[in-house]
Amino acid sequence: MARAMLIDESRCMGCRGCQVACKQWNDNPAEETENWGTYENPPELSGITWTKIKFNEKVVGDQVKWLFLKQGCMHCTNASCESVCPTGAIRHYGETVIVDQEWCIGCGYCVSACPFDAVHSLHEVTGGGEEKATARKCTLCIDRTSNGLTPACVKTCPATALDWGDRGEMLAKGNARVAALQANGHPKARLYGERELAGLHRLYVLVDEPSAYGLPESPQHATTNLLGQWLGGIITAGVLAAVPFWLLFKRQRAAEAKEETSGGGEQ
Amino acid sequence: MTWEWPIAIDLWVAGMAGGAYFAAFLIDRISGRKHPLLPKIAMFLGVPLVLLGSLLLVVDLGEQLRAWHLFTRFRPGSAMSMGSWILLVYALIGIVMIALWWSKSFEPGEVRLTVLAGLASVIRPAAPVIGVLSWIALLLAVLLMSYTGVLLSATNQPLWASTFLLPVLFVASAIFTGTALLLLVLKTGLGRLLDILFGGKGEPMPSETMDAIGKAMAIVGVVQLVVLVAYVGGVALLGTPTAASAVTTMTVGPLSFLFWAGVVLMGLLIPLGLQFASMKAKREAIVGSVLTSTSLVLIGGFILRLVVVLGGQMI
Amino acid sequence: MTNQWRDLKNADAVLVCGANPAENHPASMYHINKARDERGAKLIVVDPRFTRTASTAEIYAPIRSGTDIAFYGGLMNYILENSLYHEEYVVNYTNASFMINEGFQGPAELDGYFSGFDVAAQSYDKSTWAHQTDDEGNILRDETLQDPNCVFQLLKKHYARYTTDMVEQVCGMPRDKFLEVAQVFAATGAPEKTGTILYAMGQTQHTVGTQNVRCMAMIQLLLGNTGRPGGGVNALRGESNVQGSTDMAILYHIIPAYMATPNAAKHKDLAEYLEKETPSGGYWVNKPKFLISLLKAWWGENATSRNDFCFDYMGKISGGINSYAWIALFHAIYDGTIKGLWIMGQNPAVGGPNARFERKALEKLEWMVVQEIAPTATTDFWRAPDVDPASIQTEVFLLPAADAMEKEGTIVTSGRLLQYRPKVAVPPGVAMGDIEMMDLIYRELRRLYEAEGGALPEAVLELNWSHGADFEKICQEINGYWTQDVTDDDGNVVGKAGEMVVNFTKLRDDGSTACGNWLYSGYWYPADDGDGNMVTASKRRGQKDPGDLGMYPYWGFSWPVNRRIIYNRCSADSNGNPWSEDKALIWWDAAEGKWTGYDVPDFSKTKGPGDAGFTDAFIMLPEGKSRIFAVRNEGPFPEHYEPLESPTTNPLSSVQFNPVVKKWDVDSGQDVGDNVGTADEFPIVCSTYRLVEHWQAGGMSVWLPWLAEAQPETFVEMSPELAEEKRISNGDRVIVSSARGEIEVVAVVTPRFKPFTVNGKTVHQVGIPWHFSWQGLAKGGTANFLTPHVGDGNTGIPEYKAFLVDIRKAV
Repeated sequence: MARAMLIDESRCMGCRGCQVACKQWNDNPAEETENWGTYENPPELSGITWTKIKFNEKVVGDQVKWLFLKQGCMHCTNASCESVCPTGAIRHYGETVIVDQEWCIGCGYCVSACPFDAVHSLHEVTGGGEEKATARKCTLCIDRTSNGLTPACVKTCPATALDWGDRGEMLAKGNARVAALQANGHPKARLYGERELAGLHRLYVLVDEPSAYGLPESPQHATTNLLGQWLGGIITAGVLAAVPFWLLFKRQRAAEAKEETSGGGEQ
Repeated sequence: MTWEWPIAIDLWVAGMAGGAYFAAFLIDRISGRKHPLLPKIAMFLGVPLVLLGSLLLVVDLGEQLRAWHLFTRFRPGSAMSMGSWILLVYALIGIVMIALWWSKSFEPGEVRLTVLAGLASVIRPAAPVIGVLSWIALLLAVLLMSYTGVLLSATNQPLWASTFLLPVLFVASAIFTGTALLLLVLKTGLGRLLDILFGGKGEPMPSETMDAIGKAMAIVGVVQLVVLVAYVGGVALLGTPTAASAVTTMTVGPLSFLFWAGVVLMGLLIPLGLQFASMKAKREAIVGSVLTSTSLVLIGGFILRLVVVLGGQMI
Repeated sequence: MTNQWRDLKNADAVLVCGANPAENHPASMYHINKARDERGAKLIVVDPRFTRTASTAEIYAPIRSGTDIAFYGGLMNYILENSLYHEEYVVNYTNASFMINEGFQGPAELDGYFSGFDVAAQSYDKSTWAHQTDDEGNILRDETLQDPNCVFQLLKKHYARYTTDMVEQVCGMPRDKFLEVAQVFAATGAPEKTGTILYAMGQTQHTVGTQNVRCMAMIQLLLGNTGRPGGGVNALRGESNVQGSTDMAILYHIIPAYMATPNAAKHKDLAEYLEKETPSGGYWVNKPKFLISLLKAWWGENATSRNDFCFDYMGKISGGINSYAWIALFHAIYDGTIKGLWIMGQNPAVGGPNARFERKALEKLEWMVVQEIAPTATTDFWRAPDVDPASIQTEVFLLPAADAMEKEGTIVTSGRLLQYRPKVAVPPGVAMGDIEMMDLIYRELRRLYEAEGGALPEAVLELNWSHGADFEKICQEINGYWTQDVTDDDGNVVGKAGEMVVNFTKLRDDGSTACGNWLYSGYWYPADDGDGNMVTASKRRGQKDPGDLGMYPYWGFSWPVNRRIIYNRCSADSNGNPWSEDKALIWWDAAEGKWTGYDVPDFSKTKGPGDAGFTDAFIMLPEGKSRIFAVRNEGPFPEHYEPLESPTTNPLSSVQFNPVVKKWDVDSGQDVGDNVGTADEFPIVCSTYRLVEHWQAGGMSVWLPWLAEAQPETFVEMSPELAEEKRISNGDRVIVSSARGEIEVVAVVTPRFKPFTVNGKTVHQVGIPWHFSWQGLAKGGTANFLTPHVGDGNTGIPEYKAFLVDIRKAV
């Protein structure tokens, strides 16, 4: 039975307990940051920051909205990272997408393939600079969940914004919450993740459009157009074989053949 | 940034190797096996380029010593996996073909350097497979060129993945740079040296042929220019707002100088101008002009890869 | 808190004013969200800026810092004008019906003053504020609330001036927002509804802080919300155990459990103290039992009736807030009166107002001892970046202290809930817990007094130190115990020497009991955990919740006597029946002839209908009725005055500033001094606040890498409009300056701040978190360099929350 995390962004208050709890449980060190004109820090997810709150400000008329997004790996059913991984180091264990840290070669392909920028292979080094290593990201705390605990972030959330359980149940809860929000002045409320990429295992209750949170409206699987892309390359080669090469050198061959048959020589 | 210049170099050299063989094979075959030296040149340069590219890929890994993991799986869905296999097999076949070509350069029974000759005589019986291998190599060359574009396209970076035109662009550029590489080699006399190595007499290539190759290169260049315009415009217009801003980083942002001066002007407009100028003059192209234009094409090819690789990760 | 965190779920409306629970009390959102999910409660946030709490609220209403009374006054006016008050509650449980002296006049008549103001003395003669009484001293009442001299009519008259227009003009709160808030919250005046008000330092840290809190209490009385589930006036305390430290009297004016500190002029001996401090009615008539038991706890066998139970060994004060409250203390250090300072886990160099002044004061000390867990700007004030250590003569001692997790103890939540927690880690190095530290210090003091004598050595030598550093014994002393075998008149043993008392009802004034804090009495006594196990009360973890109101009576121990909601007599109507079924907390059981329900009644258990005082619901007050009209230094009703530094003139009267507040004037005009800025030079209103990522003055958080990562440095938040005016871009480094100093910080330009329109002109407001200093991984300008040295008129709490600054781009 697949499980999922339900993230009710209408309840999130941006306290970042999840962000710190994640670092603590996973023993991830802090990044060196500076204030860049926002509460948000670190600026991006990274190999040592597997979840963080993105702070989005939106002004509608005279109303301000402060929309918080708990970023991190979505554990997609159709996981791009898993598809593009050349060594098979990334794969599903139940609902959880895991990077096998012993098998990953650190090529970074999954980093580019992820529609949510949730996996990273560059890591800050103490004393400055970055080094490339294995790809790292949220594990849904599989070490906890496989032992009957909830993920560390869910455990710590004081705002009842995070929940963890059977995916069907989480969908039902999320949809009920969306209905309640829609009935209470949030017409744009929606559940994100039910069908995206054949179903995410992080489900979001949003009160605004995904783009207002910085989420892709319709996330794409990285290899959806793979065949077309290969064909694009191959056909291009084919076309260029005809023009100019066939055109130019066929003529040359024909001309030479003609010279030979007419007995004309080079001298 | 996860991928930097080593990846750009790999995409450049791998494409160039494939493009050179692609052009060489076609010219030789279409012209009725008139230029058997060309595929040899392409392979002789292509194998080291492919090996260099592969080396850079390994160096760029987070865990270099685990590179062998790549060859424990064959994953058609992963362009990286496919690319690794293509690079490997292409290099292996290239080495076999070079060896067989070389073995044929010894006359049977000839007593030159005994050990080498002996070795050659051992290999030589396999020489007839060159025919088959050369076709397989063509297929691999096409895949090699395509891989450089597919690798970036099969991702979620807007600049790379928004349209299907990146593989088209990279294949066109691969053939453009590959052809330029051939021409450069032929014009510098390096070609004649190679001819001797493979048992030929080191005669120069007829100038009409070289002009024809130059013409072919120019036409590919024009195609690449058209595809580049379509690609940039396509990503900007058809893609999402993020894709549009990705294009902006390339065209007006931090990479704009490299893009306009490196890719467009130096890599396309100047060499094409030189080429068309000499074609219009209806006489044999001046060596200096050819050397300049082909060199610029090569450099432009690298800058294109660099701009696309870096630009794709800036958004 | 009158109520409990867990009780928040019973509210129909939650008004957050001067607090930011999502940021500073994140766990509270669990309970608030329960009220929203299960009851459809609305969360209202009134704040100068759009906070993290506002982001999740149903209603957000902006307010200029320092104008809360205008807002609350408007709210009261709205409630009164529209007759939305809870009439039965107001008539029976409050002093609304009390008749006030006919000579009483208020700001409506006296242009901002109440009757009796003495300009020279800067204080009131309060005689005209007295009740009208009959010949026997009984207060005259008009239960129809119609008499023009009854409290209710005086209140109405007082707040009639606080119109919606006035609220908009003073607070800058758009009128539609004000009306939305008023409508939603006033609806809790319906008998079956309750609403809660949550506040914190945003209300108290003003020159009118006391009156801000009074306003909230008055509103909750008018709406009938106090003493009921989902109601009350709830202070979100700023430290996990600040409630405990208040109960244990970490303030100059009280000794443990809210008894007055002896005053040299007022209390020459025990008899005079008891006579003056014990009221004639209400539960405080038991004060002699509490005080004498306290003295017995402190001086043990040496405290006897013959020596006033060692009453004279207690230190006595001889002044008020202008002598002993925070700002006064630092002035005394600054002028050399105080030569030594002992600091336990405080950081005045970051947390004190006008912090440059206070840092300079530290430099004048002869010695300073600091008990701390981490280096702070106070422990190391002598080597701050702008200080030359060679110029500092202060001898500084650092005592490395154990963290809360490294020692056994109890902590008291905002909801008066005492919970035991074990030691879960060993203190690092030579660090040790406070008890162990104090024990060592006591022993050395004792040795020195024994060897050298000195002034009043008995106070130390005769202390009852039998507990030593034994945690268990200290807890027993706080709980209270019998000092001797005691029998009742029939000869039955009621107490055996050395055994703990069950609760404070057993305490006696003859020296036969000792108790370190009568309010806590019972907290260490074995009690049922709901499953029949007898467990030390504050260690209980029983999870039964009879009534399903979130009272959880078997979890921990809430003072007094495990009462979860104080004043809970008010949860029943004047006949003793619940106001509504879903909020039935306690009620009169006629069959049993006693009060019963889900909480410990805050009332005489057997006092029934028909008994005198059946509606005297507030048993701690002699008159039994809660005070809508209450004597405070600046008046019996809260009146709006501007902060010390204000961008405008007071539209309500010509009294600009709280008239009873002392303005300090030491070294004014100097670089470091009691400087006050004007709106010409410093036109922008500023407030300080905390971030969820850091803790108070930073000692506990700025060294933690994960927290420093999340909030690395000081910043100032401002509106895009102000930023444009000052040509500041988001992320720029800017200088914020006030009359006291300036700091360089990062600009966070955000639409969450909006300019106010006050008195017809645009007023900008900014805000700065105050955790930071030069110490720590997270660091930056210290916000308190900017704050003024001025305090509340009753408590002296500094006005951190409203002052004037200017901003310019750093070059």
